[in-house]
Amino acid sequence: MLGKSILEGFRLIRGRFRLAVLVYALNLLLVFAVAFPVYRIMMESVGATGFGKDLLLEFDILLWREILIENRDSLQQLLWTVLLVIPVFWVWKTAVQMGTIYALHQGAMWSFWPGVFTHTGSGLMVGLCFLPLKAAWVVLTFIGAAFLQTSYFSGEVGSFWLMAVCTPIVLLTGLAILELYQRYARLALVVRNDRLVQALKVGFVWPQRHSVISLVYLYWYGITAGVFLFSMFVNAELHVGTSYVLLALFIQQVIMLGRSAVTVGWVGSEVFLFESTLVKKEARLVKSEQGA
Amino acid sequence: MKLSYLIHNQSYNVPLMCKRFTAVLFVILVLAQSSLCMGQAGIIPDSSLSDRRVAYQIQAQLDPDLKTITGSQRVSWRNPDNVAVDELQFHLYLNAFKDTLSTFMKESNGAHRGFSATVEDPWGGIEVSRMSIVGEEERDSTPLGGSAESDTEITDRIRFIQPDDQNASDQTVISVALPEAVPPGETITVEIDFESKLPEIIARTGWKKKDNDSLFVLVAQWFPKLGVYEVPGQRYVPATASSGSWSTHQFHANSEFYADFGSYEVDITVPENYLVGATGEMVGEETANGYRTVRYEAQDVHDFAWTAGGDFLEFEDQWEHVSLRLLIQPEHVAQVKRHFDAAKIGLTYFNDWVGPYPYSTLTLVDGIGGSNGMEYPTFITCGTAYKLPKWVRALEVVTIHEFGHQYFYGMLASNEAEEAWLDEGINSYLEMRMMDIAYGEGAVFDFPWIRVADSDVQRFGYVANNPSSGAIFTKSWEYTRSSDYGKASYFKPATVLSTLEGYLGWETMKDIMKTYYSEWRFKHPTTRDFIDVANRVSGEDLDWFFDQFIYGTHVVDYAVGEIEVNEEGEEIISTFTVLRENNGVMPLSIRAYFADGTHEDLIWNGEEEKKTFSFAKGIALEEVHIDPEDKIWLDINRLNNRKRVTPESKFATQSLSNSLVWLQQFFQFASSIF
Repeated sequence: MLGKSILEGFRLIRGRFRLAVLVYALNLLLVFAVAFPVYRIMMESVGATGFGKDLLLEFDILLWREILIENRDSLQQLLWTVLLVIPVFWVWKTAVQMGTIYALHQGAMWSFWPGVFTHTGSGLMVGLCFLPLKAAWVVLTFIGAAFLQTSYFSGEVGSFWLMAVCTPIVLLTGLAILELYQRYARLALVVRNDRLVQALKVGFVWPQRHSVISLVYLYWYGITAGVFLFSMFVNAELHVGTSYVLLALFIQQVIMLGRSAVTVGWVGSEVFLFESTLVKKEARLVKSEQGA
Repeated sequence: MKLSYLIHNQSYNVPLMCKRFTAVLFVILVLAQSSLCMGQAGIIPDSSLSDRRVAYQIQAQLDPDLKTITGSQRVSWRNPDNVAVDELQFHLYLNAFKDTLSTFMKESNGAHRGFSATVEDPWGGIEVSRMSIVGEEERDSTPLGGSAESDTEITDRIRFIQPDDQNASDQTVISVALPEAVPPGETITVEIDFESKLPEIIARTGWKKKDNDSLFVLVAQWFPKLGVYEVPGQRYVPATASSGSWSTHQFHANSEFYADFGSYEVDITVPENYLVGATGEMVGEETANGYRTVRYEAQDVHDFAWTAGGDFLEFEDQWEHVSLRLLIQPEHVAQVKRHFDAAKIGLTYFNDWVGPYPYSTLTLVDGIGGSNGMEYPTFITCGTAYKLPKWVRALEVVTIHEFGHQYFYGMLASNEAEEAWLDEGINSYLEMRMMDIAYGEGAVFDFPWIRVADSDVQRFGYVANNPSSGAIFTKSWEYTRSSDYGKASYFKPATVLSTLEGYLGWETMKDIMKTYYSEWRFKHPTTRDFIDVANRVSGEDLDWFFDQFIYGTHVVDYAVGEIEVNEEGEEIISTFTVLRENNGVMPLSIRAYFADGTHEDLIWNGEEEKKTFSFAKGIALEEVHIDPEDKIWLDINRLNNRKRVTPESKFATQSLSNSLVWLQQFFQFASSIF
């Protein structure tokens, strides 16, 4: 079941590559709103100085300080833009997720936009239900970590492992689990046309009943982590050149397109798993429960 | 040269014969090396390096439960003046931590460099219970602590004085009026019984308990220590003065120390399971009744500090004639090599750039919390963190810096309270050079995208902290802004001296350092003395420089103004202005780049507020760069030092590219967890 659903994910990347391009383009459009002011600021403050070449080659803390001071107002505006983009991003991400699930369900024969228009509202409702849970998890993790540190791990070694290793792992694992539940609730909304409460129930219960869900999730999570690290590596390696700035931009964007393709594969895998296996298994489970 | 590592005095398991052979070989090598080194250096360690005006014999016992040191000391002082002196002055610096009323506590608000009390009774202090003058005959015949009838009790003559701020509650300096004045050239010996209560660590002194309940103590400023009697002509006492005077400062939040050179013989008694590290060389050890007494001796030093703890690991190494000993917390044992490597870098470069290290020992201590980052003669505290990544070289910076104080503080014993820059600043300058040469571009922070050199840290510390405030030549307690002491004592002097290096060249700077060392080691030099050496060695009157940046608060900022390029017939007339945007003046070079890739260099004295330069050539000017070799580190804004006729977009494009990737990654990551 695991292998099939992952293979289906890769098949869909190939089969619905235009969907991947669309997801990539939409993401790019969103971040461009923030990134373009950076270009403008750098052009204005560094372009005329001649220090551009030096800054391309190495980090210079003193020049950066001057750049930040000189552009304090513009950077403040930029910060506000980023803050404004966060809720926009949240809606955006939901819309893209719902559109992608819709496009890939029932044989992946559907288009993206109807899913966005039809299911974004209910997808947001699911998100709103999970938001306090995620916030609570963050708060509880930090309170727990602070308690453990003061009570049991106040020493240097204990503090290090608790605060620098265990707490981030616990925090991210918890958030990832909640995200997994949220994904399946949204799948239920689109694939089974479930109502909100039923979808939430699916989201919480199914991943606990079927370990394959977690395995598929971990698999794709690993791939995205790999793409992330590869992208960072390429970014670091390309940083040293001054002559290939546009080539670097192009390569980085190709990687980001790859990342969007992974998103499509990931959703495709989960939709396949949900439709072909889980729905039937759950139906059998319900039947056997009713029979009993 | 690495010989062996010892853990709790147990060397690694090497066959006995091999060990003996190695030991014999080592002794031969060390003797050969050290004699060679000493011969080259011209320093004979057996003879007196300083004039040894003081001699201390101390017996001290640590009570780990009460965190007290019970001590007796016999201190001899030779009157260096041409007139009789009827007073002695001592530092009782532990009283800075006695209560909230001390000058230290008032100035620091109870916290020092981010460390403050965490326990119910963090207080310390020192109490002198008896002080008597020991007769000349008894001095040699009576053991320390054995009072004789002929001793003259002077305990009731002790009075607290406050020479700096008249804070009547401050008890960090005492004056003792002598019943009989000490004639010129004569020596007086005083015996003192005292009890020092260590504070919970503050200002690199005190005790701390680890999680496993083991005690760590850093015992510094712990005994009644004589001030410095300055004779006419010494430091700022006029040569025409009829007599000298004591220079004994209270303990301030920012001030460090000043004392006279001499010899120390110190017996330290601690619980048997404690390891001890101290100034000087351990010459004896006895164990009895669950306690261990170690004897340390040090000559030609002006202070004595020690540490003890039940949780230290001990390692040893060797650099030429110097035995290196590291006392490290077990959780940091993976960083032993980093400590020794940094210490050896310090030894090698200071030896080369300043002069020989004449002592035979150097003890490195990995202390706890606020005890770290401190220098005492032949004894430094370093400090690190569990799993400190190799690309964060905080440990190396601190170790090299504190070792550097063996020169700038230890041997060149300026008055740290009055002229902190002479030790902290010159030392920061050399530490910065060493770090950047030894560890490269990312000397302090070596992350692939972000490399920060030590020179970046020093320059940043100056330019980012109100450069026009707080002159370097200021008494440490007289800075009006709290952050000015750090800037003016560490970052600004390093930046000023680097600018001077840019002006004079490194070879001349090195000659200045070597001459300053050879003329002033084991003395108490002043700012004036350093400037005098710089003027003589450079062959130039540099007062214009020092007046602006050591005594004054001048700020350097040059900028490229307008650039105009006009065609006039077959000629292209290129005109540009250079602006002096602040009151600091430095001669500087200006480089003009032309469209065909050639450039021309111009020299300007930097005095006018605006200067216009013109070129009439067949080729257009493309870019103007002030100080293209980056010699004027004092320039507080480099971004305006360079201007192009046509803006360049590569960096902006790369910024756009990076922003896009980072934001896309950020949003993708966020979308997988939110």
